[in-house]
Amino acid sequence: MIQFRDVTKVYRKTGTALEALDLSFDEGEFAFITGPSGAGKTTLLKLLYAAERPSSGEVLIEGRAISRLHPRSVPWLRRNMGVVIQDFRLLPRRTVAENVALALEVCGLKQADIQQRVHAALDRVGLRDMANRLPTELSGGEQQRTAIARAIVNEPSIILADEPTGNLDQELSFDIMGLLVDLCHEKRATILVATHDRNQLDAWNVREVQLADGRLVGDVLADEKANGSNRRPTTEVEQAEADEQPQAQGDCIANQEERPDSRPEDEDWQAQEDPGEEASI
Amino acid sequence: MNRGPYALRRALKGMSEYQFLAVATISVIATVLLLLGAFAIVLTNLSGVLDRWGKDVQISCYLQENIGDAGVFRLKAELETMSEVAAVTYVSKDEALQQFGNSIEGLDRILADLDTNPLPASLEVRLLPAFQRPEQVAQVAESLERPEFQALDYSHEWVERYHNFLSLLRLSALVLGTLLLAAAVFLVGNTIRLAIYARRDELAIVALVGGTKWFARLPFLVEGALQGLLGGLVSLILLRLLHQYAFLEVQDSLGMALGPDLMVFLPTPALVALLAAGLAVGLLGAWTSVARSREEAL
Repeated sequence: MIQFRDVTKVYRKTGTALEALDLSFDEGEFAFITGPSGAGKTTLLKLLYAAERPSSGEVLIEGRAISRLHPRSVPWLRRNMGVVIQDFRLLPRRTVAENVALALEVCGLKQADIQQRVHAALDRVGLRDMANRLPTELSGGEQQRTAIARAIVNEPSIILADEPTGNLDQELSFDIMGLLVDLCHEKRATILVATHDRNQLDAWNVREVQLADGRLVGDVLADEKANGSNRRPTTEVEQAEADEQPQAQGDCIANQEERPDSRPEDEDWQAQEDPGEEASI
Repeated sequence: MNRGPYALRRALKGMSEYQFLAVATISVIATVLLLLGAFAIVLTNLSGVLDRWGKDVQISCYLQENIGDAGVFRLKAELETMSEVAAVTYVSKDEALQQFGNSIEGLDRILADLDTNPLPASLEVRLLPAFQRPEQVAQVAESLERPEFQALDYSHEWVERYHNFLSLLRLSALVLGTLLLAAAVFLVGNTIRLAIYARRDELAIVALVGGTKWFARLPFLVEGALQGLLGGLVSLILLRLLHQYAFLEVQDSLGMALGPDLMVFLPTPALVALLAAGLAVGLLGAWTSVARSREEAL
């Protein structure tokens, strides 16, 4: 579904953000992209929705090299994706329904279809009664739910979430992450969530791709995680060894039963924001 | 497809959110087009005066005293055969005196006291429309020169000067008009640039959810076009009022001297052209800002 082939991204001002990244995600897979600030999490997601182009290497979605996509084709790529980011990116003067509808308006859908799909999306994230409210009248969690509704209203096959719980308290963070995991189950969408929230990483039994200084330093599958932190092979030698063993499947296997009733203590191991070039869309 | 209505909704919302800017832009466009329209009215009417004078252009050939009726008849027939000439009328000495006496009230009584008639008889030569331009009139007059004529008069200096004055006025209008329109385009461009800046968050989201460049651009172009059209409409209304209350006053004062049709309003094509100019200014201004914007969505 998604492949990174020897991808390097170098920013002129801040240097290397990703280096020789080889990585792939299956259809319907849920994975955390994790690592400290500046590790390259946001850059990885940006490469997927073509907000950035790799300096070298290729990014493929369903076999298509999006890194070589013509700028005119980028909007069509993004219509098949839902993107959720930390600061929600909602329009303060538009209602919740209007914010969600924007993702359909750009596709030129009829108003009746838009209304119907917006209500379905709001229903799904539990905001049906808030449709006519302004984002400023909502809590942080509700605002992020609105952003998720906007991301899923097109029924995309890929959902990218960059620190979706970064501005939320622990309880709301678990609600939002639970919603994303449920969506992965329901829609069979591939969901990649960049986060450095250790509480979330520990709570959900899903694949964890670990980055540091732009390199892949760990790739723990859900089953391995459940069994006590095995690392997915990241070198050719390790891959060859691993190929001889049965491969664990990381598809969307968030273990909700493992979700703690009592929330883990706040222990984000990196509280700082990513550097400038990764801070915005 | 609902992109058109969406663009219109966004444009109207944009204008209502930044009413002051929209009103300022519409006012400037209206003022510029009003100035151009007023200039056009003046030019149209001054040209009309020249046309009317051109139609009246006739060359007066004043006859020597000793030409007999036969000589006059021969000369008249000769001039009538010329290709540039439309008609030749003989004005006798008595008729000339009578016409002169009628030209100013009371003058005929003064002239009646004269012992002798000082005015010469003349042949009044009217030219075909194709030969009424000042330089052509001068050429024809030259070819009319005869020993039987003591003088030729066609007020050529007046007409030429007026013609030159109009040419200068047209050139000034063109230069000034271009500058004013350029200024209006610049101003609309700035307004739209501010609108883009104010809506940059929305543009970022539009880009994020897969909006095409045209989807993002259209509301701004519609906004520019609407401002241009509204500016054009306001200018037409003001122009009508200006014509009604200022230009017609001038006509009342000058109508006697310059003819009854002085200060007519602009013809319909010119009014449509003013509206189109407003639309073009709005669109061009919006386009310059949209095309130069560094927003990803645009």
